[in-house]
Amino acid sequence: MSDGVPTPGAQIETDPFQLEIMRSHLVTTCREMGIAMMRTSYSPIFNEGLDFSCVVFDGSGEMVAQADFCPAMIGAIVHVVEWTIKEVGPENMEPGDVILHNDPYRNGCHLPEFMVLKPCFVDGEIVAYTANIAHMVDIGGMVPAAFGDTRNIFQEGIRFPPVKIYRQDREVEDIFKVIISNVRTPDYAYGDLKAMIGSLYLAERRIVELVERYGLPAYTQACEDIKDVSERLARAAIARLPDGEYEFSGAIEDDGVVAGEEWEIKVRMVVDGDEVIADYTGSSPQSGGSANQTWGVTASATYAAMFNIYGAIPFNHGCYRPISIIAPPGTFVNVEYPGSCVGGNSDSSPTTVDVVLGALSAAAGKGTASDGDTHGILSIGGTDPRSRQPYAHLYFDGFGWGGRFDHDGNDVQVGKTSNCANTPIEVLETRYPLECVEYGLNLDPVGMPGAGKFRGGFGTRRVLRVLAPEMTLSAHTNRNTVRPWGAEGGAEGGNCQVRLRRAGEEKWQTAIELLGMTSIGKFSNVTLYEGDEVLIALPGGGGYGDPRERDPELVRDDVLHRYFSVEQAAEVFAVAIDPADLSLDRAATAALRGRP
Amino acid sequence: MFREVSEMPRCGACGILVPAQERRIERGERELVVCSARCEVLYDDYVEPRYGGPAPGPLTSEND
Repeated sequence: MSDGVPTPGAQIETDPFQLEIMRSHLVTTCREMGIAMMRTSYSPIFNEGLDFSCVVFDGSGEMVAQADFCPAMIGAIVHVVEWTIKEVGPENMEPGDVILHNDPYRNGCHLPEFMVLKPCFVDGEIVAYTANIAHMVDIGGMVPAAFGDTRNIFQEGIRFPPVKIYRQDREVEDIFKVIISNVRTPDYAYGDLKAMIGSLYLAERRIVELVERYGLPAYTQACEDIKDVSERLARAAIARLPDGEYEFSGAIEDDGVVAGEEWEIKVRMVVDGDEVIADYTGSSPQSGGSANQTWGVTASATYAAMFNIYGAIPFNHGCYRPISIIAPPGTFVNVEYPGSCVGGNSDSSPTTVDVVLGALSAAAGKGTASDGDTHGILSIGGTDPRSRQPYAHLYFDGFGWGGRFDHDGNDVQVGKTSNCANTPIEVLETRYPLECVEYGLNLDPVGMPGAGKFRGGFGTRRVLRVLAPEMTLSAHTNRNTVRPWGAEGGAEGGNCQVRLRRAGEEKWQTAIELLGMTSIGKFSNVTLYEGDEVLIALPGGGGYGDPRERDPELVRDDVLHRYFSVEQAAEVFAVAIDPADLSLDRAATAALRGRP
Repeated sequence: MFREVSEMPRCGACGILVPAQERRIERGERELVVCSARCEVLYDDYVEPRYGGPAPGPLTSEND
């Protein structure tokens, strides 16, 4: 196992063409793992949401390949796999073993994120580890599908330290029994776990093929060269940043436990030559709710931000070597046992990415405003009256990204640590007793993106109606009170809205108003009845730059799309649009902007 | 022997949980656990000069 001490001067010994072929083989192996999981899993969060990540590590325990999966998982899996190998010990692994672990404190993501790891042997030697992390929808605990206002890890669900779930190609039945007897949807859990493990076997075959084709020495050397090439490219990207210390901070609103309190994520990015330190010292103490981040989540958010600086380079262990992270234990960014943290991975980490990007904007000279930074997570559960089977589902959707130095923020995106997809209406309505009554861009004034030379992108707005006699609803959302920040004179983005409406009523109410909950955005186990509705509207991102410098043609396009009114075009952007035919009045615009 | 995570040390430089293969180092009268040789360098070059010890956290100012 490497200590991670960089060797930037290392020479590449593999023929570059052969190296690229071998690297592509490993990356394609990761993609093939993902396709296998998508096609063989049971849960929509796998086969529609793609909330999983597949990777290949070399025999030394360093990542050599990943594919276009979920950055939050991939960043953490670097450390999860490393420490699992160290804790279990390669000497205790045998061919056909598969190790399972979902312990967030052991440098993982959060409890629903199950990791499986398989050592790959050639001639009695471990030449690789194949692994994946995937989001298991229900893991027991007090909330179906896990997300709400949990206060400790025991309320979140079942937790596994590293244990063998396969021994020598045979299921360890006791482990499966423990899992399926502790979750609400045992068939799904079993099917999804088998999909995860199946992908490991697939990857093992591909790696053995690679080793047999080129020989073990060539394969081993290629793994080292693959990492070294990426390390050089990563260091070159960092070296282009001016040396210095760059600070930024952002806030996460209430944790569902203490109303009105905010939790600060603070970072100092120290750029020194071709290395960078992300120092989170000074961040708030860990909260009493579930918005806390593990060390692994904070690391993966940092990596996700840094990869924006790297640009398009092969991502593997070499990319992580120039980055050091300091996250003091017991803080919001490094929760200690038994603090709750299920929401930190999914809904706090996007803000952490934006905090790091905020700090680096000054260094890079390329800024960005904050994204909407909440996925609008709803956990639902109950018994489907059509099948009489229990169900649990994790709902999330896209928000608006922040405007950037050169273009508007993207509409309807998941966070930069995510890369998952929403669940299509057809699947949602087929699999669960729900009707999607409304779905579109969030044009509500409360959730509108911030104006700017480059405005923020739009979030989504959806209304779901309950079709079962009863349904349990929980929520873990942010940005209900704290808005996404603007940058360089751009305006703040919008707020999230979670609203409830009883059947037959017209008025939407917050969970506080309707049910006396502590928080409007984080609550657990509300009972909804047939005909009740949920409104979830996600915020637009912050704006970048002075709105009065926005290209008038872009303002007119926004008016034509009915994103903004003619009056808003004049008041906010200083652009004159003729209300009769929506044409651009250039002379009047110049006058509004004080230009001849 | 199985240990719960509450019994495992944190790295004195980066704060990560160290489930195994902990490295103990001495700095003055202080004994620290670090997770790697890299973090030993991080502690000496950045953490200790800036904070006089492990990075301050609200619950744990020193590891181990």
